[in-house]
Amino acid sequence: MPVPKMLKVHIVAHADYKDKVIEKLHDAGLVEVESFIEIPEGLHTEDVDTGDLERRLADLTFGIEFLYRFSEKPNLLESFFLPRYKIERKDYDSAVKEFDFSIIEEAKELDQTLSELKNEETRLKSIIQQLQPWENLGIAVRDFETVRTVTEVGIIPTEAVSEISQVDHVHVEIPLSTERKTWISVTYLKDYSDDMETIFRKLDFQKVSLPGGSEGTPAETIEEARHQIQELQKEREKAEERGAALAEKRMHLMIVYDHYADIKKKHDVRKNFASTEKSFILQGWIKKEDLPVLEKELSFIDEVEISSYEPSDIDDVPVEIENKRAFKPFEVITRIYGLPLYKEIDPTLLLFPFFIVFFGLCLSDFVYGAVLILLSVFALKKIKIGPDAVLLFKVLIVGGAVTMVLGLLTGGWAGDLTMYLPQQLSFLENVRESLTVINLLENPILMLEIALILGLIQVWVGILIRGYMNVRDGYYLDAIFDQGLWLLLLPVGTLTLVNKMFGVDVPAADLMFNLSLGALAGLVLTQGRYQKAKNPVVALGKKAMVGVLSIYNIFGYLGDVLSYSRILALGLATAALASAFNMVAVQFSGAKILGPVIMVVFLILLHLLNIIISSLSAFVHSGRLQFVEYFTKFLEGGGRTFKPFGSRPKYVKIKEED
Amino acid sequence: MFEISQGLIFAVLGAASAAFLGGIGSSIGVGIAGQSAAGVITEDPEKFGKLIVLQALPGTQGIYGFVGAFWVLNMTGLLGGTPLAVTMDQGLEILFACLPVGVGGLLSGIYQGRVSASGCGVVAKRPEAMGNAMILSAMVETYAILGLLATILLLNGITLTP
Repeated sequence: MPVPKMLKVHIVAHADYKDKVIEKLHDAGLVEVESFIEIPEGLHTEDVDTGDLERRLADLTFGIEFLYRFSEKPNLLESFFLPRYKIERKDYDSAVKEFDFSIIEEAKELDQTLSELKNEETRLKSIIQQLQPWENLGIAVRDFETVRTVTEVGIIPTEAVSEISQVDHVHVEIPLSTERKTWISVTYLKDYSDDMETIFRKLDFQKVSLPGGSEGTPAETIEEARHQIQELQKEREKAEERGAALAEKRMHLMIVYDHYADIKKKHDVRKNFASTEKSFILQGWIKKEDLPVLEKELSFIDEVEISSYEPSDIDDVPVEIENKRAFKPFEVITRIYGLPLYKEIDPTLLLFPFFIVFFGLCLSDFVYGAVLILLSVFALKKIKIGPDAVLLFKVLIVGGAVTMVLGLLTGGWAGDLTMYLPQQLSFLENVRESLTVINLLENPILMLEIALILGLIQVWVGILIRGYMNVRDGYYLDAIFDQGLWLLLLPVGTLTLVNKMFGVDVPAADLMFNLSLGALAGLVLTQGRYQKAKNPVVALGKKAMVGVLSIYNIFGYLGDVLSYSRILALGLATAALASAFNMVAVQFSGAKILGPVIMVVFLILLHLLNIIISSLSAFVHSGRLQFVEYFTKFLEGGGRTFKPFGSRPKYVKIKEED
Repeated sequence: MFEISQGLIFAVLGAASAAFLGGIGSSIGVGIAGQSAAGVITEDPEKFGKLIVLQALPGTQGIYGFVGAFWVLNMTGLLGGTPLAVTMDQGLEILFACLPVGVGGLLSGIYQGRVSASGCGVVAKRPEAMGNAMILSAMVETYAILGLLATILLLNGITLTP
């Protein structure tokens, strides 16, 4: 639960050892190096030029992204979980050693070629499109102007066609005609040019110039363009083959990217050092338990001085959270919210029981829980996934187990699937019924009450944790007044309300009532205790007012508790959807051919869909209850993540040698 | 028999509106989110897996509407093929009881879609903040869930005699 202790460290060493110290720190990955807010008097910082490295990294990024489309795609699941490729150390080393940056140039050239090919193809296609109406024109472009004749092509309104055909000394061809427009070529003697211009104007003849630069007939030009497109496509295929060949080296690019990113990191870290002529000093953070390891790592240097300090109040201490192996997966949920502040506590263990029960209640189905476990185990064994996703699936396995138990209690077996089973299996329906304690669909009110009670418990525990933190830090009065009174009021007040409003019998009702009044009075009297004013009367008035207003927090807590009703609603939605799916699928069993087969296929698909949708909702909303209703009671959050200086590869992971 | 069952018309209207209002809300929401997601994919096809989850989040309103409709069909016996007698009063009660999930789903679906769409922008720049984007989107969904809850509790309060 506590956040691991951090120490601020200063490392001073001879300048000759700078590179060695950096290498050691990088390999150990224990120290977060921080820049000096103020450079100590007489020291200077180093300017490091990483422009060349940045260019290389940018080139590599281009290559990796460009070659993505030619490479084997990860499947949908894998792309969701950002796999890091595991490779052997020797492959990594040889890839770095043998890497040739000319592959980037090749990729760039290929990119250029592909876009040129594409542009050319677009141009040809547009020519074909423009020439399409003229395809039937029998006159070649080279014959548009002869010694004595001129041919104009254009579009005229269809009703004007007969008029232009009747003009003397004119040859008309109509390659295409629609109801309103007609594509037409008009050939006439040059001597009549002026007359024809007048006729053209009169008949609204719109001249068209044919694209393509070809001298043949439009049909020939189209044919030629089509041929060229075919050629282009062949060229493109060749280019894509080249791309595919290059893409085989994409893994090398990734390795080299990670390698250069590491080098850049080692350069960048120098910017934080302060140096004199002969020595340098760096400042950073380390986990208290790791300090001896660091001292050992650097002990090979004679002239090195490591000094460490407890953090002071003004320090912005980075935060790390650490949990036992069994609970480690649930850090995923804490990290979604963000880390606690250094002076706060790690909420992972505290959210674990609530999250898992809420998740189970939102699904509450024996079969779904089992499927969830199977799918998660499959994902862990068979799919390449990143480290975060491994933790996520472990959460789902635990969640699946709880879902199975709660499913038994609420009678969820893929909804009410056991009702439809054939004779031989119908005993399962009896098993289901005998195990069911609450049927969600028949008795939602009882489940609602359970959800709200769980909510009340979680809110109460949240306040309790805050009280513990106050006691831990020595604020005993705050713990008693700010948390103790509420801790008393919430349960006894709820019981009193239930007793007075709904007439439910509760033990020692009078005592409960009096305790509630007492707690309320205590809140009114104490909540204004930090209010101050110069005039004693004003001060008293302020104290009283803040005291009375603090009672309004009741509505805040009420809202928090009501928010837990979502547990019932999501559980109901899962169950109702499952029943509806069963009902739909069973309709198919009557079909003459393959009826039962279709039914089973539908059952599997529909229930799988329900499992995915409902698990997503269950996860997100159980998480929300932790973040919004629970954490706000005792956490401020927003801690800065501890990022020790070391290798943090983006793409590949070197296999640990056992 | 005919007169007494006229309430059934309103019950069916209630069930239908729960389903179609929720469905519209989700369609719009998923649509908006999908457009943003498509924009991100043009630049970065590897994020498809994450984006599709964000896009799916505003889809639940349609499901809640369907659950509400299913509840009505179940309680009125329409699913079994032999509808119960529903009086005019009861029919109208059922219709009104369906409004929270329908209208709540319609509006929350649209706004959740907008938040999801912004979430796609978050994932485009910082894929590790996927969880945050999901939670922000789920905040809006709360009110669709409360709508479903209200509808179910209301329907549960209406008793039909066979």
